[in-house]
Amino acid sequence: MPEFLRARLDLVGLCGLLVVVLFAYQQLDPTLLDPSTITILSAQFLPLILAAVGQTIVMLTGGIDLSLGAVLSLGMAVFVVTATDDAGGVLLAMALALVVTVLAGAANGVLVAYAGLPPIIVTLAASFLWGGVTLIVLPQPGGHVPSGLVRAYNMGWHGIALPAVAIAIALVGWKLVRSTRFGMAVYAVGGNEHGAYANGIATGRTKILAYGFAGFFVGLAGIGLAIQTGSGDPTIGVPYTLNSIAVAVLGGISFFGGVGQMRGTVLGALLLGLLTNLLLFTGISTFYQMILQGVVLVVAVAVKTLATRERVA
Amino acid sequence: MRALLRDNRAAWSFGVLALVWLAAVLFAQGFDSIASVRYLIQTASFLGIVAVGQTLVVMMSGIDLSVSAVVALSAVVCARVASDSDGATGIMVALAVSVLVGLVNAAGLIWLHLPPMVMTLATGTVIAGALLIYTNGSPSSARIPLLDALANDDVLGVPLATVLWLAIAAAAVWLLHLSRLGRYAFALGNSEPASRASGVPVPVTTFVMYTACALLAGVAGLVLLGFTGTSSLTMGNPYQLLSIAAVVLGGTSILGGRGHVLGTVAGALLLTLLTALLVAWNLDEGPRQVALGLLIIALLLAYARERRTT
Amino acid sequence: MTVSLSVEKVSKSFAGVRVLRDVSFEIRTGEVLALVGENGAGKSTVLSLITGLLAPDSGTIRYAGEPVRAWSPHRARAAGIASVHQELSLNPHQTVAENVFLGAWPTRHGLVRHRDLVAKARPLLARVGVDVDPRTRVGRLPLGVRQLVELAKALTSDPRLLILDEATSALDDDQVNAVFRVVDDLRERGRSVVIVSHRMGELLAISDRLTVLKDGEVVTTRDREETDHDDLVRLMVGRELSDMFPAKAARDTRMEPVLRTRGLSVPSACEGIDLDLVPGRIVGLGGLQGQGQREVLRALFGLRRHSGQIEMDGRPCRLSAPREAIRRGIGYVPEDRKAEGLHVTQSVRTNLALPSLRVLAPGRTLTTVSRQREARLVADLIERMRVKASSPAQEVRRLSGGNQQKVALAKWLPTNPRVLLLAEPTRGIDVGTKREIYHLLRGLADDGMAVLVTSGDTMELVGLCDEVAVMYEGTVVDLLHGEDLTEERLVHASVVGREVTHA
Repeated sequence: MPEFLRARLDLVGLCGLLVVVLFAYQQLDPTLLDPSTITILSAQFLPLILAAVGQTIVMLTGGIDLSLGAVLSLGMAVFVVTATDDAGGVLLAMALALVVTVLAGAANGVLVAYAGLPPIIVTLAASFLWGGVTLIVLPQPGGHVPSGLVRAYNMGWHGIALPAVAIAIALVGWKLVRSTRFGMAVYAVGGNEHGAYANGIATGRTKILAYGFAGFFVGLAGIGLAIQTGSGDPTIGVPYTLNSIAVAVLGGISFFGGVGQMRGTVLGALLLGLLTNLLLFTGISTFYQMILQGVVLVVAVAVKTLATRERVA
Repeated sequence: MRALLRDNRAAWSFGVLALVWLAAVLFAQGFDSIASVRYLIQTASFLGIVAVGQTLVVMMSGIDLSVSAVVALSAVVCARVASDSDGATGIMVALAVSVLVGLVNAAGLIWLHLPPMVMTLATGTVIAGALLIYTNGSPSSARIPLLDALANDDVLGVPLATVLWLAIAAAAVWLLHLSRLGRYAFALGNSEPASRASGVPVPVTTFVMYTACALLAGVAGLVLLGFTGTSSLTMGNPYQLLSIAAVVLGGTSILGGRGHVLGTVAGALLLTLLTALLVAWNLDEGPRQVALGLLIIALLLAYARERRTT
Repeated sequence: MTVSLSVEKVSKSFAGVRVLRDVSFEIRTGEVLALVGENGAGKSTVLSLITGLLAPDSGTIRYAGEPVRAWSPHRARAAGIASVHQELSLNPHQTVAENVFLGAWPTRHGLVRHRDLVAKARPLLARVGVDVDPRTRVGRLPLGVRQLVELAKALTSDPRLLILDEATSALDDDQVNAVFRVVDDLRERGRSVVIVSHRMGELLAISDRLTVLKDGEVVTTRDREETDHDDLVRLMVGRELSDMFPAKAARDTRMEPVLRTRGLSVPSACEGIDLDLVPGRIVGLGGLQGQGQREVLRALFGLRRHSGQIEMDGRPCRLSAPREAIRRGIGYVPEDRKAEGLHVTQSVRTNLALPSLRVLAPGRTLTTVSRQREARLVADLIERMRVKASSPAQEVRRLSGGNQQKVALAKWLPTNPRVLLLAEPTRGIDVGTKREIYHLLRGLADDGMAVLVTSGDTMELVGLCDEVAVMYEGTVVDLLHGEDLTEERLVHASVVGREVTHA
């Protein structure tokens, strides 16, 4: 296999799969490329994509975030509780929700960086904590999202697919962050923590910032989900924890940190989302979607490990 | 002495459990009666059985995220099969499918070289989906006398479920701390390369531990079915994270190779007690979870920090 | 000549073991100071103190005239101290360019531009004689090139003090010369260099002064002109070595080999290796570092996929996994004992018993392990090998390097191996324990075991082995035994091998 392809095996494979799925999708739903379809699809995929972006950032440092779902719900809850009908109020609520989720993420980061506890159990305990805070903010499903916003978001606004724009802005934002020294340090810490420390990188601060950034993207996902569904639900975020991990792994992010590209994660999320929708079209019960998800995950990761194993053993 | 305490975190978890219980008896209402103790150890046994299984895989540096799905799987399958034939068949079939899940998990780890978290996450998802299809979304309920008795009856005032739990824990102590296989599991948990280079049979160890873990999750599902009389697709959900929390609060390192099964028993009791305490204080669901989260973090900081190896 | 950095009466202990005792020396500006001493003499610890990775228990480090306070890698780097370490600090998943500027990536408007990194990395890489695309991932480079990348990284900050800790261990002559050019250049510009290397010749060629450490203390500091190889060895070792090695096997032991390889090959590591391991004889694999010796051992223990024929007792056999090798009576003491040879976070008892669990718990894997028999076995081994541990329950990582190695070796003995494979059996071990291990290995051979040893230490191979196969670039280029087995012949063969393959 040529070196070029081998190095990008995950991405090439994912792109290939995505093209196949898109083609099949186009056959079943010729309106795929219409603005309205794109708007609906992007609104549907936004929470998973952004949640997976958050999970990816954490995993790149060599960590894992089991509290992601809880933080996503928290962002959603804060948003729907504080949002008012005017534009200023909505923006204020968004800002507030993001501040809360960033702080929640950074708090996870502090415990991981300085308490000597492995990320998996810190974020496990934190999932109870943030889940509880969400329930205090929003005990029952409900809350308020301005109906005009919901309509514009889900139906298109002057022909613009707002969710797609939001995803694009978020990804460009990460691209910028990734090319700062901090972004480089995230990869350095995940790839060889001791080496990074010995080279004068503030590993603790890098981790805290990374978890904070993850909180930011997860908060965005929560806000998006609130606008898409038009209300808040304190427990709706739970499945996103494991789904985001699955998507990141699918996209080639390593559990051990330092390996993987954000575009892989995004491709993984798109692939999973489109496959699920395809099942709907083919009339197979939606119940099969979870089975599909599990099988795709195992096959994708197994193919990757077996294909790259020769080099190691 | 200090070194002994530091190295024996399972003992710590019993100490903390004793302290919390004492505090509960002294400062909270309704923790001083025999009935309350009985109720507590009965409810702890569901979590406890799952957590003992989780300990087996965590000790060899693994993790099983499919336990929640297996709890539901076993209960749903048993209820369904029992309503078509009889209770004994239902139980046998339920345990058989649980074992099958464990075998599949282990096979994925050994032959596909998947990380445990990915493999068990995937099987968990597949099972959840399969259950939806199997039940068409509405699982049946069933009263199976045997399970009913197992979950609710007493022996000399001790709930049968608790007796079962302790028996399982005793068997796990033998498996993990006395048998040859247990030594292999600890060795794997401490260093996989060194274990391979010392001739540790990795496949056998993986198969036995993951299968035992799935089997115990299945048993917990059956006991829960007996306790509630009804099965549901989400009945296992709390056990996924709580079983891991119980293992870690029991002083076992999440990185593997360090800890004791009995610590997990204390960990499960501690988690159940804390939850009961928070309920007794009439806290709402939200503050209760916040308190639980903070308490777990505090306890972890107190005695579950990982010592750096370098 | 002014003093750049001075170490004054510094002591340091790990877990109650004193590794440095009142160490004092100084590094002047515009000089190259070599730190010499045996493995475990404390060189790396001293360097870690200078670079801020560790803090001294007592004593001061004075840099540019001021005692250093709250020293850390970050501060040391900022103050102009750069280092190239024995353990590489590169991130294998990032590119060469990214690694060259690791932690100090140049930015434009706050953003790191990869094109800038590549452009700026090129001259630095050229300066250290590395000709690779800066966009290559470091994980794909051979070890030697990685060391040079590490050096290029150290040069980015234009350091006032450069520390080279075994920075040439994986380099060939051309690469070493590139390093020396860099060092010369730094010296001319009034910078200081501290160099640690196990290659005595290099130290004598490049340094101005040499400070000798032994058992955590400074023995003396000599100017380059007033010392030579023999003098330094005497200072480092501090005693005569005549009783170091045991007597060799009698010449007429001509038994059938227990293990024989014909055409053993490991992809991209070694090819066509023929070895005969005879009971009672110790065979060495010599040559420069990294010529495939390690892979031969790993293949024979089933840790590397290999091709070619392997026979045991004249019958062909497959060794596809360590368990198979162990079952056939092969034991392996790896080079990296902390990762592969031992479970360092477990007790001495657990480590010693692990390969013998089949004996301690016969029958199926679910059999209970007999604690009594285990205790007896462990006590026997500890006594036989004279392992110094506070108790069998002590964690292996708390033992000294020599005692760890004894445990890594001892754990195979109860399985009665017929072939013992050892990679670098005395690396990082003090002289006394070295001697013990040599005599022990000879004892095992006399009892009928076949022993195969790799070592980068020529003296060790010559003193210990009955026969040495010299490897170069994955093939055996010479086989030395009897009268022919001398240090000169061994070194010559290692180098001639190169000329032959180039011709």
